[in-house]
Formats: sequence, C-alpha cells, structure tokens
Amino acid sequence: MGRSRLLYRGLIPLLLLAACGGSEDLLVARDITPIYAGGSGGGNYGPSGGGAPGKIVGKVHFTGAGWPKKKLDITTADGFCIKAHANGLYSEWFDLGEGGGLGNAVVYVKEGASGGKWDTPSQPVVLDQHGCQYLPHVAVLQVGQPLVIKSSDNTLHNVHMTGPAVPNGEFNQSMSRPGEIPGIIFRKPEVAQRVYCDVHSWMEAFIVVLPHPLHALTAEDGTFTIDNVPPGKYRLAAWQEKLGETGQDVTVPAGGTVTVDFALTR
Amino acid sequence: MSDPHANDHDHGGHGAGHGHGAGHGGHDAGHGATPPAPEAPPKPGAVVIGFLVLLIGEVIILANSGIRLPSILPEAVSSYAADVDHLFYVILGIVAFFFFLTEGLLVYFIVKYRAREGGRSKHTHGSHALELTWTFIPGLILFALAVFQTGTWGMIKFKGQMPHESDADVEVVEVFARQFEWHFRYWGPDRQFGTADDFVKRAELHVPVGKKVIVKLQTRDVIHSFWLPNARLKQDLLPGRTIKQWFEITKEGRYPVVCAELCGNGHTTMQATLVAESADHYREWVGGQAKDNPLGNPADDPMWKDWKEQQ
Amino acid sequence: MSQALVTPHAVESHAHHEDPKGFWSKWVFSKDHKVIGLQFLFSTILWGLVGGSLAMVVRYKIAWPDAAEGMGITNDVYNVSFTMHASVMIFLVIIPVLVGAFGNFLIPLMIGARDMAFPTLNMLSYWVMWPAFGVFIASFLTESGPVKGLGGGPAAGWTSYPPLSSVAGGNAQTLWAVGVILVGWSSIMGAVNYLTTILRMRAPGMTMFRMPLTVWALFITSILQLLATPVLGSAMILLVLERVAHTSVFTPATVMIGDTAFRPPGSVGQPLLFQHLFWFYSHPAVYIMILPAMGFVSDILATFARKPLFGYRPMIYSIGGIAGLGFVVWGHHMFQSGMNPYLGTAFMISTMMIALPSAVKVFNWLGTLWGGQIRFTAAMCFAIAFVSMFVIGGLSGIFMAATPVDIQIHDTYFIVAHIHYVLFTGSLFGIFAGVYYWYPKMFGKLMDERLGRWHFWLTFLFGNGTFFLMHVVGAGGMQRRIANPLAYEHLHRWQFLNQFMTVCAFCLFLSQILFLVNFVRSLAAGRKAGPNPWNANTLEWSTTSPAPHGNFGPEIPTVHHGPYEYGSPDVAEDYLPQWREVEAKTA
Repeated sequence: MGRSRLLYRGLIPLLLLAACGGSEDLLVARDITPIYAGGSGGGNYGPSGGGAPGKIVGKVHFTGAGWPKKKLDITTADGFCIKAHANGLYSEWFDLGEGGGLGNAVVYVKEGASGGKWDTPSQPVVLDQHGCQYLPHVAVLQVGQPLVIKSSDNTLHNVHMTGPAVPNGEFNQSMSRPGEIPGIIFRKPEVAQRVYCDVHSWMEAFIVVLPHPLHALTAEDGTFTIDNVPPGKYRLAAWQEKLGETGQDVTVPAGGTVTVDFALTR
Repeated sequence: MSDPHANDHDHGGHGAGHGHGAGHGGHDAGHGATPPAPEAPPKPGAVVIGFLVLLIGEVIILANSGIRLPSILPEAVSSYAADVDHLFYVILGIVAFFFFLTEGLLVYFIVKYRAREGGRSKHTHGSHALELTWTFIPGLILFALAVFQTGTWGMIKFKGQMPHESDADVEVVEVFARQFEWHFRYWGPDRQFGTADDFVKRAELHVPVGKKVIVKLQTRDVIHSFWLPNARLKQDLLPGRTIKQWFEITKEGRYPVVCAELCGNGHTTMQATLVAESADHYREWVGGQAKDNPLGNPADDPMWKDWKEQQ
Repeated sequence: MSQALVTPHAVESHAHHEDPKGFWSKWVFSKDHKVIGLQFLFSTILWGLVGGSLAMVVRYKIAWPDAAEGMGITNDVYNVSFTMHASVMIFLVIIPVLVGAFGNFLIPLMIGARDMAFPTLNMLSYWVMWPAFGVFIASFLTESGPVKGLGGGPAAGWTSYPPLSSVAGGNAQTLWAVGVILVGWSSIMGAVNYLTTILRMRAPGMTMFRMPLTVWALFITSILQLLATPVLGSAMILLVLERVAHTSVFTPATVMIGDTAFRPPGSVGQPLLFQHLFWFYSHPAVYIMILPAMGFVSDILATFARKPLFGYRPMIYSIGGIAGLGFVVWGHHMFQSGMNPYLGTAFMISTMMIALPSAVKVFNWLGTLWGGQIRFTAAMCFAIAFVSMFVIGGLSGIFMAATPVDIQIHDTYFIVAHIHYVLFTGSLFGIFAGVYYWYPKMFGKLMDERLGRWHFWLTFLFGNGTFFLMHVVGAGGMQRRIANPLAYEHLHRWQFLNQFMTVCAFCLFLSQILFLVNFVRSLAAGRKAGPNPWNANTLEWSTTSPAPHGNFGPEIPTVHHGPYEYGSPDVAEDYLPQWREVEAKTA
C-alpha cells in the first residue's frame, strides 16, 4: 500500500494525467475511522503501577430520532437466501435494545494500553456466513489472533475486505459451499474493517482489531464489561459502525469497578 | 548433380552410404519414390473407419443425452428471436454443405490416391480456372451472407430502429449491474423516473408480454454482459456509459438473465430471472411494488446513492 | 565458391561462426539458430505441460463443481486456472513453438543461409522467454492474490479487460502484464531477425517465389508480429501504469467496488480503448498462431502426396490476404461490447471476407491431395487432420462473423469450441506434424511411426470428443468462464456433455504421454535418419541430419527449382530437390 500510495502521489502530477487534489483517501473505505490511533499520544494515560486489576462496566445509549429497521430485498436467482428467511431479513446495523441501549457497539481502551504486555489469544474468532448474513455482525479480535471465516450456506459467497489493515490491501475469496477459511491474521490494529459479500450486497460485517484485550462488545441492551484492567487512567472509546466514535477519560482504581456510560448520536 | 540418388549426397562429410539405411525400404534405382515410412503405412480404410466411428459416436452421445438438434438453441421467446435463429440455420445449412463437400473430398482423395507400388502422382502446379472458381463462388456467398445479416442486426441494435421511450406502450427499465448482482429500477405507474413511485428490484426483471421494453444498461464496477438467452439479446455494460437496448417477449414464463462477461470470482452466480407476464398482471405487480416497496425510494438504496454521488 | 554470390550479410555472419567449443556457449548461450530453435522447442514442451495441466483443473471444475470444490478448486482457483491456461498456451507455447522453435530452426536451413542475420538478438529473443515464464509463475505465488494455498494468480481471463484487471488487488495481474510485455519483446526481436534473414540471406537461386510455403508463412507472420506486437506492448504498459500509478486511461471515475472508488472524480478512462488495443494485436495474433502451421502443412502435404503443391502462388497470396485483412477485422471480437453497431456492420463484412483466403487454402490443399501418391506417415496424418479440423474451425467462425448470430453465441462455449478447433486441432496438429516431419533433421533420428500413429489417433479422437460438443453446449446457451454450470437451471441438461468432454480432455492429456515417450525414446533409440529420409525437395534436406554448425558444407547449395517438384517428368525419381540441377529436359 505504502509504495503504491507513494507512486500515486508522486507520479500523477508528473504524468499530468489527472486533476485529483486531495483524493488519496479514496482508496480507504468510507464511513470508517481509517486507522487505530492508539499509542503514546497524550502521555497522561497509562497504568498507574501495581495493584489488583479493576473492571469497567457501563452502557452505550443511542440518542436522537428513531430509525426504522429496514427490510432487505434478498431475492436471488437461486432463491437460497429467501428460503433461509421465511419472515424476511432486516438490516443489522442498527440494533436498538430496551431503554435506548445500543447493541453491536465496541467499547475499547484507545489510549493508555500501549505500555502493557498482552498475551495474544490463540483461540480463533469465528465469523460465520449463515443464511446470507454474517454471525456475529461485529467481531472483535486482537492483533495476531486468528480469524476463521466460515460458511454454513450452500450458496456462493465471497469474502471481500479491502483496506490498509488487510494483508496486501485486499482479501477476496469465494466459498461456494459450506466450509472454512482458516487462520486469517491481522497484523495491524483497525477500527473497523468492513467485510462484505459481493454476491449478496446486503451482507456486511465489521471486524475490530485491537492490540490489547481491553475491549468489549455491547450486548443487545447496550451493556458491556471490560475485565482485568490494570489500575490507571485511560482514554476509553465507544464505536458503532454508522454512528462513529466517541471518547471518555476513565480512571480505574486498583481492584475496583468504574462505571461509564456513552451516548452515541445520530 | 544428376545422380538419381541426389538425396544421398552428403554435404556434411559423413559416409556416403549413410542415407540408405534410414528411410528406404525396398530400394531400387528406378524408384526413388519408395515409401519413406519406416513402418508399413496404415490402411487408408482405417482412416475412413476411424472418422466414421467418431461421427457415429458423437451422434450416439448426442442422442442419448436426450437432445434433439432443433432443441439445441434455447427456447425462442422474443419478437426478433426467430429472425436470429433463422440466420443461424441458414449459416448452418451453408456451412454443413461446405463441411460435407470438403470433408467428403478429403476422405475420397485419401482413399483413392493412397500410394501404390510404382505409382506416379499427377504433375500439376494448379489450375487458374479452378482458383478463380473457388475464389469467386465462396467470395460471393460470403459477401451475400454478410449483407443478408445486416437487416436483423440493424433491427436489434441500431439506434434509429429502436422504439422511443415516450411511446405509450413502451416500458423502460434501468438495469444496474454490480459484482455480482442485477438490480432493476422500474419507473412505477407514473412512467417517470426520479419520482416517489420508482422502485428497485433485485434479481427479478418483470416485463409485460407483447410490449416493447427498453433496458438502459449501467454498471457500477466492472464490465458485465446482459444476456437474455431466450430473447437472443446480449449487450456488454460499460462503466461510465448508459447503453440502451430493446426487446419484446412473446411468451409468458420465467427465463434466465445471465452475465456473460467474466466479472470476478462470483461471476458464476451472477444471474437473475426474467419474469414475463401478461400486461394486466404486470400492471398489478408494478402497482403493488410501488406501494409496498421494501427498498423504499431508490435514492435510499445505499448502492445507488453512493454511486450516484460519485458521478 | 557460391558464397560469393550471397549477400554481404551472409558472408559476414558466417565469418563469426567458428564452431563454439564450451558446453555453455554451445548448448546454453548458443547463437546457433538450430540450438536456439531446439531450446524453444524443449521449453515450450515444458510450458505446454503446465498449460495442459491447468486445462485439466478447468475441465474438472466444470464437470464436477462440487467435488472440485472439495479438492480446493474454488471459483478463484478456477478463474486463475483458465486465465493462466490461455495465457501460457498462447504466449508461451503456440507462438514461441511456431515462430521461435520452428521459425528459428527452419528459416536458415530452408533458404540456404548459414545462420540468422542477428545471432545475438536471436539468443536474446529466447532468453527473454524465461523471465516471462518466471514472472507468470511468480504471479501464482504472490500472497496478495485471492487464492489461498496456491498463492494467487491473475484471474481476469487472458483478455484481462479493465476495469476488472485494473482494479484487482494484489500484484498478480501486474506480473501477468509484465510477462506479456516480455513475450512481446521476444516476438519483436524474433520478427526483425526473420525478416532480415529472409530478405537478405537467401541462397543463390532462391528467389522469393522459390521459397517453401513454410518460409513464406513465417515471413508474413513476422510482418504481423512486427506491426501488431508493439500495440499489445503499449496496451500492457498502460495496464501496468493503470495498476501501479493509478492512471485513468482505461478506468473511469464511476468504477466503485464495495465502498471503494478507484479513481478521483472526473477521471474519464475508456474501458473500450483497451479492447481495441488488445484485439488490434490479438486478432492478428490468431493468424500468427495459425499461418506457420499452414506453411508446415502445405510442405508436408506436398511431400507425402508426392505431388507439387496445388496453386503455389494463390497459396502465398492467400496468406498475404489473411494477414492483410487480419488487421481490419479485430472489431468482430467486440460486436456486443458497446462498440457502435454501425461499425459492427463494417467489421462483419471484412470478417466474412477473411474466410475467403482460408477457403482458398483448403481447396488448394485438397487439390494437392488429388491425384497424389499419399503416404500416411504420422506427420502426414496430422497434416491431413489439420486440413479437416481447420475446415471445422474456419466454418464455425462464420457464425461469429454474422453479427446477429453472434449476439447469441458471443461469450459462450461456441467461441471456446471455435478457438480450440483453430488452435488445438489446427495449430497444435500442425506443430505435431512439424515435429514428426523435421525431427530427423533436428536430431538425426527418426521418431517411431507406430507410436506416432497411436498418438495421432488418440489425439484426433479425444480432441474431437473434447471440443466438438462445445459447439452444442455453446449454442445451447452455456456462457464461458463459469465455474459451476449447475448454478443455472437451464444448463442442467448439458451437464452430461460437460462431463463427457472432461473425460475426453483427461484422455487427451494422457495421450500426449505417447508423444513425450516417443520424443525422448527416439533421441536415444530412434533409427538413424539419412540427410533426406522423406525424399523431400527443400534445402534443409540437402545437408546432414542433424545439420552441422553453419548448416551446409563448404558450399551453400544453389537453387534451381521451386520447392515442390514432386513427380516431375524431368527425372526418374518422383522428386526433384531444389538443389539438383537437371540438364536435359525431356518433354
């Protein structure tokens, strides 16, 4: 990516082939914060030293006008997807729980975790293509942790990802019957990588890749729990695919629990 | 250089008798023409039998697979399909004639003129009259054949002969292709695009029987090819262009809509269904879709929206 | 000395031709046209096995898509396989074997030259092929490709139309284009060399109209290569720029895949431009791939019918006609591409007319057999089969030339059948005929005729079994390049034929083992061949088998006749070699 970007920036003016100012972001998927910005920024964040690990709990709320779930047209020539969903399939991106809780959002430590040493889990995260939708809709994994993409459908899907976090910039593999693509490993953090199927344009999922285990996926009612947080001060972020990201500072006491609520607005 | 064994002359300095061993079977001075094959040549009968076995074999296989020749082409259901098929069979007839003529002569010659002991071939370098004959007759046939095609070609593809969108009984559908789906955008009961009753249908192209339909072909990504095998219509979709085509289905039914141009790893499944129904049913269906359209206005469809914004 | 009559070039190049001593300069970095020709031959046999194996993957996937999926042949592997099957077969097998191997080996021997005009350039034209092959192989191995395990590979078909080829991820497609550029480079170097050699270095008495048809075919092929290949090269360079520098020659701004736009707004690339450039080369390339084979077949038919070639000059003019018209018919690949349909009419007429010189050739070949004394050697069997199969390949082309019929059969298996009748049972049969015929001159040994005939019959049978039925499924509505015909309900009725064709294709591939065995075994155990084992007329048979360095003895033979004086009443034998002078002519 880097080299071709360089060529892109360097050669085009040379060749006078296109008038294209400020277009370098075109190669990056839209609606998505491009690259995880974690690291040493700020300097105030980080673990405060020894002590028993604490816990962050809370809830992600949605504020603003309601948004109706959209019924998807899942007609295909082979009829497979329609048969799998007799009552229709609805768009997944907006999962509003009771009391305005927002499911399928990711809460994670954005700053302050860079000093820690974290084990890479060897247990793979499985993303299943089931009945022409991805289960789960949002998957969180750690850098180096294997991702297994599975298909339970007896129809053709292709697994398509593009972006800087994807090895070589693009992944595009077809699966025409049930099976697994084992061991895809992300080497760079990314919030968030979109996965989609070109055969069924409604199918999409997001993979959040983080360099540490300090993260949680909200339950349907919007609640989350992050365990085993070393005591200290952190910048915490809540992300949702369409509503974007919002941040809050939080201090975790040794052995204690801190409660944080987020509100994401349309 | 007038030595009858000129072929044995050895320019490389090897032994002069060298040439005899290899190629010459029953060698005698008067017959430089001895068959050069080191082994006995096959009986020409074997050639004929082999050829016949092959032909018969393929006929048997064709027959056993439940296919009869006239049914090879997909069922023809459009107003111009019969014209295309007619041209196909005209060419098939001409081609079959020349096929049997040339192959027949070939087989006849290789049987009749197989090498005989002591035989001499006719020493001829050609015939001007024959050359003229077999240049001009096929030339005329080919040229006539080409001219013969132009009417049908023009009827299907020429802009000047296409129905007009404004005609009262013409339906217009925008066909929108992407990897690896067909989307069809209908103009709804008001027969106007860009209004609230437009709707988009994935993988189903509904058309009224007996009415001319104009399809406006667009692609969002790579080149696709819109093919209706039963209607005898095929047209590639080019990024950055809208290409108009027309057809008129003559028989109710469900037929395949196929992508005929390689478009990526899902190319093999890129298909849709052409639903041809009576004009009444069609009107009913359009009305229902326009009212209860799952995708809402096409402007809300992210696929359309992103792409339109891009342009 | 007759060299004195030869042009200065010939003398000069002869002066440089001291017998090379070391192994490397003699067999590896050789500048001897015969060694380079054989290097091309051996390499293309190797590459042909690669291309053939890929075809087996393709056929297996079509016939048993589910079982193939279970073996790891996914749609991605399938797409890569047919892309590389065609690319390898066209760019690394048929063109190099016809032009590189036979062109190199035969041209100087047949025109009575001691070597090519530019021996070093000649060597280069071979050694550029290996980087091309390497780059093609590397494209399989790039991690970036879509295919797991195998690595990757270009998957946009051998035609590689943008935007599919210009926006595909990874490096495989770029490597593919680089490989094609290298092959094109080799072709251009070869063509310059052949043209110079043929024009300037013919033996005394070898006028243009005494040259064998093989040389004429290679001469006109070289002109085609020289004029057309640079266009392919430029198309490929533009494609590479399109991919690495994100230029917008072929890719317009409207192209979006997923959420990704590939070009800034306002980019006005024209996908159709690539098709024009590509087919402006690739249609003449079809003739590059068949004309030399037609030349071989003409020579072989005359030799084994023991009869002069019927209509020698019309044959030459028809080659010229094919080549000339070949430059104005490229649009027939684009009837349904969105090209202006009025232009389609013009291309239809020119395309119909190009069938004419082909028809003239077929009739002349038949005329050659008429009244002959036909000997059925393996070479002759393949040559006769070439004529018979070329008839099918040529006639099926008329369906495609007819624009309305092409609407239906364009991009279907009918096209696949047509191209394989022309290139497999056409070009490849010509190549087999050529190998059986000139093997004695190459290695001084005869190939085993019995094995050769077995090879012929199996290839003929299974070749037809594989390719003929493709006409049927194509007309029946099966489009090309689909991995799984069973995904289409209307194609289920053809699946039995697809499976039958696949079985034939496997047998066809296995039959080639006979050829390889024959080829290798005859090197050691073949019967020794004299200088002229077939009693043929052309100059290559005047020298020893194999020919020495410098090709001929101290004197270049002088040419007294045309190449096809078989059955001449002037001599007692049924052949009159070009180098033999006949003093008293009897009526």
